[in-house]
Amino acid sequence: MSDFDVIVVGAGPAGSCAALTIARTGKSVALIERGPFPGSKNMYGGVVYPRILDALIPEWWNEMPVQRWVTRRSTMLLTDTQSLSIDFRSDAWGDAPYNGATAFRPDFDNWLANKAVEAGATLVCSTTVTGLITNANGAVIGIHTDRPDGDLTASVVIACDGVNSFLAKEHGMYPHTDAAHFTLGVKETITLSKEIIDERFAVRGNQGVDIEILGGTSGVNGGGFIYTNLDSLSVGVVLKLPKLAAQSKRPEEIIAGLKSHSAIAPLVEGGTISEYSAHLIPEAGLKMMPTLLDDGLLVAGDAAAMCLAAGIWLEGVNFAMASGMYAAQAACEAIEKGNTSAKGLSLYKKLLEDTFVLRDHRKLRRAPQLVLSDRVQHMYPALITSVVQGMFHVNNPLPKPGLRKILKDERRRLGIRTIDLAKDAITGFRSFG
Amino acid sequence: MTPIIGVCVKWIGSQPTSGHEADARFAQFSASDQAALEVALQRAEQQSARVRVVSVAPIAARSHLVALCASGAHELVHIAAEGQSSSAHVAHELAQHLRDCASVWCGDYSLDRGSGSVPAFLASTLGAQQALGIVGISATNNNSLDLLRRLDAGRREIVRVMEPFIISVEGSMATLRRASLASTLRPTANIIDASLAEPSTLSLGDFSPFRPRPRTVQAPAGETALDRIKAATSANSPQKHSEIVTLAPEDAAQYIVERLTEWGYLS
Ligand SMILES: Cc1cc2nc3c(=O)[nH]c(=O)nc-3n(C[C@H](O)[C@H](O)[C@H](O)COP(=O)(O)OP(=O)(O)OC[C@H]3O[C@@H](n4cnc5c(N)ncnc54)[C@H](O)[C@@H]3O)c2cc1C
Repeated sequence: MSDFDVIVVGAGPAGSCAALTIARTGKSVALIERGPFPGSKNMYGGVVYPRILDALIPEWWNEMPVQRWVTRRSTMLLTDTQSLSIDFRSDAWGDAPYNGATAFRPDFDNWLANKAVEAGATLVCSTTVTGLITNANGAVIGIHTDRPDGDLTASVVIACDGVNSFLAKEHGMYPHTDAAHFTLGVKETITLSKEIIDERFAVRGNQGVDIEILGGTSGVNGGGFIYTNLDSLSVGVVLKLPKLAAQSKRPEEIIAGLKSHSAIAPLVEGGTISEYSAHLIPEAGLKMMPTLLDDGLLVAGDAAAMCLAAGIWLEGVNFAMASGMYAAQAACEAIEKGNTSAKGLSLYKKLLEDTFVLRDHRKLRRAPQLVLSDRVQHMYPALITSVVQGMFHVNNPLPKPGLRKILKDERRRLGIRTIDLAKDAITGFRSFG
Repeated sequence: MTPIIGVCVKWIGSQPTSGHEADARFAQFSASDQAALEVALQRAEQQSARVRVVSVAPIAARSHLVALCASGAHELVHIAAEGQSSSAHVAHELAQHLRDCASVWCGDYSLDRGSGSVPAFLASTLGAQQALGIVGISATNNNSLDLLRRLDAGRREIVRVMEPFIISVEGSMATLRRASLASTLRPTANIIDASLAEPSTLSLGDFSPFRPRPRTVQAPAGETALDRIKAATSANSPQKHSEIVTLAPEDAAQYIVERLTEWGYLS
């Protein structure tokens, strides 16, 4: 007889949604978290897209701890001296059922984990899972923890232990790992008064802004972001690991470079850095995904590289919540049928395949590589901003040059080959089109 | 009857900062409170005693107190109280649940760096001996302990305390053992709920620092200002250095009272 029906490792968004789903069925579930409370060790950029919560917590927006509702989204291209923004605003996003929100992880994760506890899950904090217990056939039957007498058994273990999952790796679910599949995300939380933020970002009340940035990362492939919280900004960069390692600047210097850009400095000036944090992001999507299940074991969320990082989209929390929920549904079905082997748990894969989780990943499978490529990172921002500058620069030429001519001239000047441009355009269209 | 060892701990939620409320998630017990519990657990093992943790704390502290007790305490007395109470009142309430304890262990400081006076009030209420700043136990006798006490400038002294005693330990004295997974999942400490009584209306009178009464002093005599300063400061009279007097304690006390009266500090 096992101690619990299911053990969920990690009370991040994936783990808490898994535990909530299981507890609702009346099965016993332990949610094990290494931090002193859920969210205490977690960081991210700052925007949650909680649509998936509709299935778990009706009208979640009435109770979720939100900083601001995102009503404005910008995508910004930066070169050293130029910037180009595409800015979109929707009033509808500021009302129920909303779209996305900025939220702090210690608040959001804690709230979500407490939902699981209210439903009957047993939350155990300050406890690190150090390994998996397997039976003679290699099936997972429990976990070891760092507490005295710290073993616990269950019919199914769901590993939601985040990026670089030691549990999935220990169990051989990641046959090969490559540093190039990861980016390092670093973030500063910059305190500014609400009034200043409202004024600088042209928002009111609890409206918020999400700015994704291409360029401005001191030549290291990656991107940047600025999100508005109630009375602080989240400003950060996401940096491709091998490129970061190949140069000498430290991540905080790269953020400082971003903050000193003429398009960014006026937004952040006068603020006080109240927090600095860093975390890995599984960036390569489908290319790096591990084996998702084995006898007695399911892997969900960042532990399964479910984070969608595709340039204009950095969505990890919603993919984590969805995969956690689907893993839980599969675990419950397997337990009810009395078969928790990989075959018995196979509903998990089907649910992932049938929903946005793997569909988006499949559609965007080439996007991470494209977005982090040297051409997209360094040449195209220069090309696009120069073309726009050419269009708007007034020096009274005769005749006024058209877009095609400017594009051709700039492409030549920057040494971009037509064939590469065409190839990237096709890849981009297949992914984003 | 199984002996009981008492432990007093103070739960501190995060301090409210401008615009933000205190947050129970960031609450903790000081390292010295945790050390007090560990020392008590060790002594309980030696003496086959039970450990009773007593705390005056808000409701929000409950899960933290239970988690703390999972390290091995047998009983938890949670005296629920929101807001601030005076040290004397807190000590009085704690004492109600510690009367059957031969020894009570406290931390030397709480995370809010309070006055540190609760153990002293507790000792007074229970009529127990008190020692603070304890960094080690140097000898254990039947009903007494020789304790290593920290003094200023890195010095140490050994003090002997007889039961019943209240000891405040420093955080360096011990590291609290980790609670087992089983006791974390299924806390076994017997929980006794109590609530803070209204502070006693019995007044002990007004206290204020002792200040000698002013007395009339003759104006110093002298022709010049310098002479008058010399006279006022007795600079010209022969210096009276400190004297060493060896007396029995009662006579020494009498001698001190006489000198203080002579110098005008006592009337
Ligand atoms: C800089 C940065 C910016 C990002 N921005 C966004 C964004 O704006 N929007 C978005 O949707 N996503 C964003 N993401 C991605 C998002 O944070 C993740 O995809 C998401 O948090 C994954 O959730 P998870 O539950 O799978 O893992 P995590 O959130 O990492 O949670 C894992 C949990 O497991 C616990 N744990 C780990 N190991 C153990 C163990 N051995 N024992 C016990 N507990 C353990 C951890 O403490 C943690 O609580 C960003 C990520 C980074 C790094």
